[in-house]
Amino acid sequence: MVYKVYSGRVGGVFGDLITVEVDASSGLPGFEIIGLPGSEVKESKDRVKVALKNAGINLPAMRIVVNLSPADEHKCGSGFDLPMAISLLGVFGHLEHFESSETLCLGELSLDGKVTSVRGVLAIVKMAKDKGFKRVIIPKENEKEAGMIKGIEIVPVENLESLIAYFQMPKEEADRFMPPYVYSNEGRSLEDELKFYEENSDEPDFKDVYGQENVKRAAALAAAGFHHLLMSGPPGAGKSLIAKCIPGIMPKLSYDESLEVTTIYSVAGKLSEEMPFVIRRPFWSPHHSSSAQAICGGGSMARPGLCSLSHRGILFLDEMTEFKRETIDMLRQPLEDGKITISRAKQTFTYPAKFMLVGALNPCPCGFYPDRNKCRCSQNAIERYLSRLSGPILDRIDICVEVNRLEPKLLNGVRQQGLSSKEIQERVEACVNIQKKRYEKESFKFNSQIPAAKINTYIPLGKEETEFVYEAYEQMNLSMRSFYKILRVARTIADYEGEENVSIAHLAEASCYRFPEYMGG
Amino acid sequence: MDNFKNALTYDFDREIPYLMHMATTGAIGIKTYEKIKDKFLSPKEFYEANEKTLESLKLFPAGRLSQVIKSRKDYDPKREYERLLKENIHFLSIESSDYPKRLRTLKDAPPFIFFKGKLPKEQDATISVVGARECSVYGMNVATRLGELIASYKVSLISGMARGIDSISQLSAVNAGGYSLAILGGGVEHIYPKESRILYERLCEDGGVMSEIYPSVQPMKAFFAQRNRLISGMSDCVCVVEAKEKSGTLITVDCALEQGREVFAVPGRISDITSFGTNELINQGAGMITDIDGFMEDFTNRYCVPNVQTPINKEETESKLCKNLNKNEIRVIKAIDENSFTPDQLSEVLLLPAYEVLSLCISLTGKAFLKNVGAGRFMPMQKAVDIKNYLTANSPC
Repeated sequence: MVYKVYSGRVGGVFGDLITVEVDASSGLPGFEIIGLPGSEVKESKDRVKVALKNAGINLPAMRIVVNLSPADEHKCGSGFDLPMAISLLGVFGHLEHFESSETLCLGELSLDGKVTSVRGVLAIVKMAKDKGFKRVIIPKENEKEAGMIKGIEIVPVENLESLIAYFQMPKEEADRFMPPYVYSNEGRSLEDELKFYEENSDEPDFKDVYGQENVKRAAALAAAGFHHLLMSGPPGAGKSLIAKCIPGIMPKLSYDESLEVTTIYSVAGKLSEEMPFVIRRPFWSPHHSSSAQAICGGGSMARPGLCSLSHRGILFLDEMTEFKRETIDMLRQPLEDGKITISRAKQTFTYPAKFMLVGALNPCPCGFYPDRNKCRCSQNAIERYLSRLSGPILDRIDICVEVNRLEPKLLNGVRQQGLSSKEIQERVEACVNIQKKRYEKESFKFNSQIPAAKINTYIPLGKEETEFVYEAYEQMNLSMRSFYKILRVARTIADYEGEENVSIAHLAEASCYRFPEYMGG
Repeated sequence: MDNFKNALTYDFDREIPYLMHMATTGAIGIKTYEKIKDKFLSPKEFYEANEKTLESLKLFPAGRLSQVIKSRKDYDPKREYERLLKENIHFLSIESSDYPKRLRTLKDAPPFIFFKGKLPKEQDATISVVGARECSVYGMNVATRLGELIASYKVSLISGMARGIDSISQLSAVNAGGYSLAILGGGVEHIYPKESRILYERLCEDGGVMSEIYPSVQPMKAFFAQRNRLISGMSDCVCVVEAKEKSGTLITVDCALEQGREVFAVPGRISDITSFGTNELINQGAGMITDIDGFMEDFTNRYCVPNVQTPINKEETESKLCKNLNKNEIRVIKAIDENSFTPDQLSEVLLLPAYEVLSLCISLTGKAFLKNVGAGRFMPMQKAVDIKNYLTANSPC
């Protein structure tokens, strides 16, 4: 007799449906798993047998064959333990009230019968809902992330024993015994949780950054137009602090965006009891010794890297000149397409990676260039130092700004406090909405993504403005590329100021954010 | 000796390729050259002399002799001569009437020189502007201003085309329509440093590039100290704009003093490392340039044929420029010094919101008082510095 139970696995950030079939027949006693299982799946044979025994079920001495279909795809992960155990229970007649065709199961077993958490639950639950399943049985530890998906019954289980009891009760009684999971935290629903977080965030705030008003403005513009940002300045000037503040001025994470990011975190196994789902914009700051795989994702069975974990948030590369060139060059595809494709012998995965790149660097080995009073580096040393930056990556960065150390004596003087992150965020959000409306019919959403061919359509310039930019083009000895960058940034400045047309003032300000000559501007 | 000179005078075309060969060896200075002139009838004879003859004459130490012999291998004087002609590289030996008079009197005059473009006219006064490679914005401004003024007075500017002060002053002189000569520490076919290519090309057209070293020889460290004596030698006066404590510029100054040239230095703040050398020079008795216009006027009075037009009255232009500025723009100009700055730094001093300072800077950039150098940094132009000095001199407080 064959018994079928549905389960799933993760490919990229999407779930795939896997059928677990079990057959028990007479013959030489044995237990075999077929269907291209990975080594962790092969090992589940012993986990399942011992866990069942400790839950009070002894398997009869029969020949048991477990097939994972489709059989031609590699299976990995420990989530097949629970579906295998359930199908074994089914094949030996222990399940009285179990609608196997409506239910998807997922979970790892420990030897004492406890059901423990697995990676990628969110992606699989989402797939289950899309495929029309009515119910998912998942480990209790994963209930919160699974709860993000509405319209499917979520049954969190703690151990195999209670699950067996659950299956032996009629539906109503079972629901009382193990109620389906609905998210609630002190009476707040999931949507409320996002708002609650916004109001009670402990992220650094721009109002705590003294001075540096122009850097803050550049950061706000970058967030508003989704421009990548580069900060250059001496050590200790506050580059990292400013970068950490940027998630706080980006538009609030919407529910759908949060779901997207949580899925990636779930696949990467980065969710925990403290952070069951992602409600703040991610901020990742890899150390410059990080490998290319850490940043882009990889491994023989690929997992998302930092650039995917920073999806919809910030990837901050501090000391950008210290990174290995190959590592940084790997970011070219995600910066261009907003996703990253990783090919391995067994599989090809695509992870979303729409992040805002924020870079920070010292302009020379000692950090004080172009202040020649403090900087004693020779011109050659500076050139060598900056040549470590990858040109193609710099091309994709629109805004470059210098951060300078403030004089300590000025810090004590009279000062007006700058805008808080919340106030800046409101303006950024307004600016993003303007762009959303303008680019409704386009494939891109932000000013930074306007292709060269559409610059004239979306950034129309009057006669005086045209004259101004051509003069600037000549005077500043710009390349065509930096010229377009200036136009795009000017468009963002105009949107940020709430003005319809790009004026000379906007263009002039935008030209201030271009790369200085020593950095190849 | 006379025979040698005669050979050059009457059989110039035939002899010149062999004379040029002498320069390739790099072993023949003025003293050796005199000896050769004494012992041989013509350059050709020297070229054809065998090793034994040369050895017996004791012209060179042993190492140098083999160098000379070696240089004859793979060298075709006639072909090389034609190649240099094609490349527009000119050759002069110390006998030539076109050979610069200022150099001829030096005790270690180069027997041969190569140049592209033109040499300065003998009757024109010459000034060399030299200084640090890693210069400050202040140094850049002074070098630019000096270059412009030197050009406007029709004085020739001599320098070394090095990074920083040298090339900045030369470029501004050529841009202002003046004449400038670069003396290189390698053959004139090699552009060093590479980033001076634009200047090099301009000089080949409107100025000159000169070297005592054979055109195809790569620049070498040892050559640079040697060429510094030519920079000072070619000039009536040496102007040091910025120099650090230990600087190659100071070699030029030593040569200038030995050759009896005047030395002037531009003072700087005592806290600036780039002005340490110049301040020290002043301390040791070098002339101090406190006012560029005054210095140039004084210089031209002493060295130039009179009747050069004096520049227009500056005071008047400055008060006119001031009228174009509003109150806050003037505050910005007063607050800056010669160094580049970011608006954030100024907003702390002026107690104005940073975005307001930024828009003031932008409007000043539009009026050419500041230069936008990218990454939110601005650099004051000479005009701004002039206005600032004018304002501090004329304001009651």
